[in-house]
Amino acid sequence: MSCLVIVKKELRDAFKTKTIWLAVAIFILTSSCYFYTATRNVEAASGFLEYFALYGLTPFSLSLPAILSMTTFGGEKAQGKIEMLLTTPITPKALWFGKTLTLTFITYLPIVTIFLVSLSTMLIGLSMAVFVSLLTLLHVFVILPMLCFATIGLIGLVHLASSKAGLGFAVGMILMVVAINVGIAMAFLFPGLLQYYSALFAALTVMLVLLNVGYLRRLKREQIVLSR
Amino acid sequence: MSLVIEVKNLTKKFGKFLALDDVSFSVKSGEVFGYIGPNGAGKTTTIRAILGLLSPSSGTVSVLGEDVTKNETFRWCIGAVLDSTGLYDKLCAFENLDFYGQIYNIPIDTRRKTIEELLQFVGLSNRAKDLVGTYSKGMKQRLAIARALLHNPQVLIMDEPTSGLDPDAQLLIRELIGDLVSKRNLTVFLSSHNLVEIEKICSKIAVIREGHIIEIGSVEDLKKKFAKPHTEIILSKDVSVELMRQMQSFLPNILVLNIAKDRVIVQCDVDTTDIVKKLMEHDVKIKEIRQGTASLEEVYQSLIHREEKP
Repeated sequence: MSCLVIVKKELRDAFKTKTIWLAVAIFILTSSCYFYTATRNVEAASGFLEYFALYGLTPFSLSLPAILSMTTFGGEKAQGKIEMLLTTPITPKALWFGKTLTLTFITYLPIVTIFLVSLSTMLIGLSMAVFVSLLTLLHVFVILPMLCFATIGLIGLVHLASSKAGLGFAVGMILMVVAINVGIAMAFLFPGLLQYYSALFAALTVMLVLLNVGYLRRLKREQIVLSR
Repeated sequence: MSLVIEVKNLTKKFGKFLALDDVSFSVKSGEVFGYIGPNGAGKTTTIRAILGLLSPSSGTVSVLGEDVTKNETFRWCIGAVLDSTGLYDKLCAFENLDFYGQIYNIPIDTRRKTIEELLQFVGLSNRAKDLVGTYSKGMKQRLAIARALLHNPQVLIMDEPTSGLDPDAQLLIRELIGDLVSKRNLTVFLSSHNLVEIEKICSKIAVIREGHIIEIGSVEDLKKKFAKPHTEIILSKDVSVELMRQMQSFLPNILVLNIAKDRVIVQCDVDTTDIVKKLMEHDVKIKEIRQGTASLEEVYQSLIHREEKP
């Protein structure tokens, strides 16, 4: 119940925060440019959507959380808002869950929108059947939201439990750089093995979820207050 | 009166640093308890321990009879105003209070009514729809007090509520705290550097230094115990400045606290007739002599400096 209160407040707050609009705008703009440029050069347009979903959207699902959680977790902690909330009956876990859920929604919404818009554009523009594999759908609709949640959760926990404000951001950026480089390397080395890329991120998601669970079990009010 | 806050042998260590050392005190129902001490003495650490934000290295902290490390239900009965207001600048006053009201599961109708009453109480009802980011520091502090009262707590913990405020805003906050105690019968734990504020509103105070409680008692008791009586000597207008400066030498064993335009304030244990006699011997013309009242600041200085000596 209390985490839903946090979700409602975060959503109300989010739509009044310029950073979030800016991050979403940059994401939509760069994704559109990527999509437009790539479709002009790719001969097999039907296969492109899979590249776009995997190599284009995945790194973004890791970079947006790093930017957004700077304000929601790091900024609020520095301003004493988190400490104030911890004096109330809300638990640190409910606080973390509420904030993570909201940021996942804010991050995933533009990702899934851009995917659906891309798909529609290709279907209309190419007037041909665009093949979207089950793997791509699984990647976009299951792995990516889970990856977003786990990444935001981990960065949030780092912000909550660490006194180093930039550490959470750094974790997000490292994950993003790894995602991009692994993606590029795999695309060049094993172009026919896209499913492995997806499997790799499924494994990364599981690892991040486990890290979240382990970290969350040890998260106490004292740890958050002392690391301010 | 029943005990609302009970701190027993509280010790808190951060690594090798001993932040609180065997701190014990209790606060009774309806009491305004002042907690004073220099920066780094352990005031905020004590407050965090009472709020259950820090676990003691040893000792216990109970609020309304519950050990704060073992039970979370005390959180429904305690309100806090901390050093940073923790308000959301992008939300208006009403939205800020509404958010906290939801956290305390206050039903929507009661919540709206309470918020309106509290905004009226802190004098912000005409700014209820304005973003908190546009508020002055004093207004934010009043809103933070309203937020702390939203769930009708029995105890209010305040950490330097007038810090950084102008004199008018300080007076307003002081009046609010006074109203809270008289009208709502709240128990208040107030940490502050503002000794005038503490003296005016607290019924009991504790002085903390380097993690130790060095004295506890009512303001009057501490004044009697630690503030030496002082005498205000109002001089005739024709006493020269030079003569006033030399007065310290006329008055051996008497501490001259202050020399103003036409008056000298001295602290002494001897009879005032002796002072008068000595001054007259040196042709110092006296207009009036009266007994001064000791301030909490003198008590505080006396205690802090007493402890500094080995």
